[in-house]
Amino acid sequence: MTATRTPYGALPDHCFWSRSHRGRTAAEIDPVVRGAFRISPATRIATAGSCFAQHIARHLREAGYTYLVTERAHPLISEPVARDWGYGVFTARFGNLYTARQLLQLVQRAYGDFAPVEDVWQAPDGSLIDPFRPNIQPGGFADRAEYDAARAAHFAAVREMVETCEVFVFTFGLTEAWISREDGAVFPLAPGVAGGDFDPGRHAFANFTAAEVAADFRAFAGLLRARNPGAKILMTVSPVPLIATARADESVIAATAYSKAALRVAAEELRATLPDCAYFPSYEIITGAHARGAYFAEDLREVRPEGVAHVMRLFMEHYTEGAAPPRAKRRAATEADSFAEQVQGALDVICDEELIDRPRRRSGARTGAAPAPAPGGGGGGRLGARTAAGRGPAA
Amino acid sequence: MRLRKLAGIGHSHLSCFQRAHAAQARAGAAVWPEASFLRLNQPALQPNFRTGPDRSRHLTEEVTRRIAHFLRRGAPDAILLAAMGNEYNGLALLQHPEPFDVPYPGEPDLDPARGGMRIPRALMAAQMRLLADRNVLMFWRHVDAVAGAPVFVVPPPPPIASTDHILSHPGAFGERARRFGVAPAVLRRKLWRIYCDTIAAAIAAEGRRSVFLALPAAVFEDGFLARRFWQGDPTHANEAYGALMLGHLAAVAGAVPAAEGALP
Repeated sequence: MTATRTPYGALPDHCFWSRSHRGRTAAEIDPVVRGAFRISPATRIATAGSCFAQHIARHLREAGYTYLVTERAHPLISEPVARDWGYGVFTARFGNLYTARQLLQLVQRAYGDFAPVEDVWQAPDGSLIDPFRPNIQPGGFADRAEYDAARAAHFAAVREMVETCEVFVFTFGLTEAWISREDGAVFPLAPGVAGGDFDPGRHAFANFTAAEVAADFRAFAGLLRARNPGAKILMTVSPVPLIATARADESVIAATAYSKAALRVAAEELRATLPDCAYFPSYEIITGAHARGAYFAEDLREVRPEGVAHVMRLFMEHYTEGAAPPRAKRRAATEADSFAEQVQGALDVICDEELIDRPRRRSGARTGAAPAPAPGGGGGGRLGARTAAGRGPAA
Repeated sequence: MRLRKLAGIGHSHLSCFQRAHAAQARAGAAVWPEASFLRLNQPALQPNFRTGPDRSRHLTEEVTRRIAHFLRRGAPDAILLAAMGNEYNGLALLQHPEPFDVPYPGEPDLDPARGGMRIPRALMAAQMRLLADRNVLMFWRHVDAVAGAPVFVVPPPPPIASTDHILSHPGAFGERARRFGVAPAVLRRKLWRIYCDTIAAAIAAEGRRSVFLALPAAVFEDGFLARRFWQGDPTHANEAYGALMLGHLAAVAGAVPAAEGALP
């Protein structure tokens, strides 16, 4: 007796729900199947998108891959400060790009193809806020000259990213957005949240459809490939739920389901129709039934480190090739590094040197330096008026 | 009210105050009849702090114990804190391989032909704050918390305008001064001002009984350290500067509420 033949008979295990899960822990589940291409340690990788994309950027950098950063703070600025100011969080200092329309308009603006009418907000203290990246400059820009210079540098960095990246990773975050009624400019946050003032006459709510998301991203890909034909694209969908919906008649839970579904549909269509454009299932890794919700933190929104680790482990497994370079060789030493090491790094040594007293000691003059106290005696040397002339130099 | 007892705590910048007081005492003309100084850069107190796994810094128990004992024994009317300061000099004194400028109100820009990045003042202030938090403000927070008298935080002296002087007397910067060169004087002045602004803002926001001691006009020439206060050193001021500042401190301290008494 021969087994009944079906179209499923020859399919691999990953096509079957039961075989994909049976006998595996959550951390062992792998919905990737195979990477669409491979990233070498030398591949220039750019990232953009919602908050979740930051994990990819950080992990690649820490693992020694060539994470492309085209907009850097001056080397004098320490990394924690630079990150607070939006440097190195993504490839350029654009902050979170939640929607495909935002991404498209960013590139259009960088190349001078779109100039939004509402291009600056003024804070009550007079500082200026960039409506399209309202959180990248703590305290805002001091004046218009600083604002314009920063934006010009930013656009140059975006152009460099477009023209030099070899892999562009984008994480779709939202379908909901606030747009200008005047020209359709998309803001990452509703006016009034992190700057500006909400004006129903000027600002409108938009909830993009899957078709609109796909069309916007396709237009972006066209701009990218027109200047960088070889660039590969990797799309992901953020698993992070909406923090709020602007739809008063809808639960944020249902609004999240719509948003993620639309983004996922758009990604699927783009993967099927755009060349060298792949989808990485970070959304599925975090939200899949196998995880039983355990990858979300107590607030049911933030992704726990173990969830991020699962995503990045599969990303590295399926999309990278070759061993990452040893930490010591990951970055060529620059003159700026040398400066930091030799001058700034030596601060403590400098501070501990008694720069002034030394020559006077050699000359035998009294220094007035406080004598070292007796062991266990505590307290600094006392040099009151009565004793000043009678004390010798420090021991 | 005439204040009598001064306690000075700090590192190398404290030296000019200490020497000035000693000289005044020898001449019988001390502005502060009694003064004692605790030099935190003395070998017995090294290191002053330990660094935690998260790179945070914490004063050692020995340092905190010595400061407590010093203040308890001295029962000062006023405390002068001249701690650290080289976090600013490390950033400002030498020419960085990647040129930069920082705008500052009322200060000229550097020649644009020099090239390089224009760092927003607020960003440079954030960097200064990060460094200050790990250096001068770490000491200040501790002293402010344990002090039983007003604390006057003294910034490092303003920069010396002369590149030749700095190269001739590179001090601890040594060969590095010639290798990297000295940063433009105007830039050094701007960075000094940002550093002072940063410390003053922190003290105003967090201080319990502390005052940022703004420098008197007499120490400046064109916003730089006046020539008569130079010594054979790239960053520190001389004894005459210390003497002038002791008088300035006495005038300012006399105008603030008197100490509430000795420490418990």
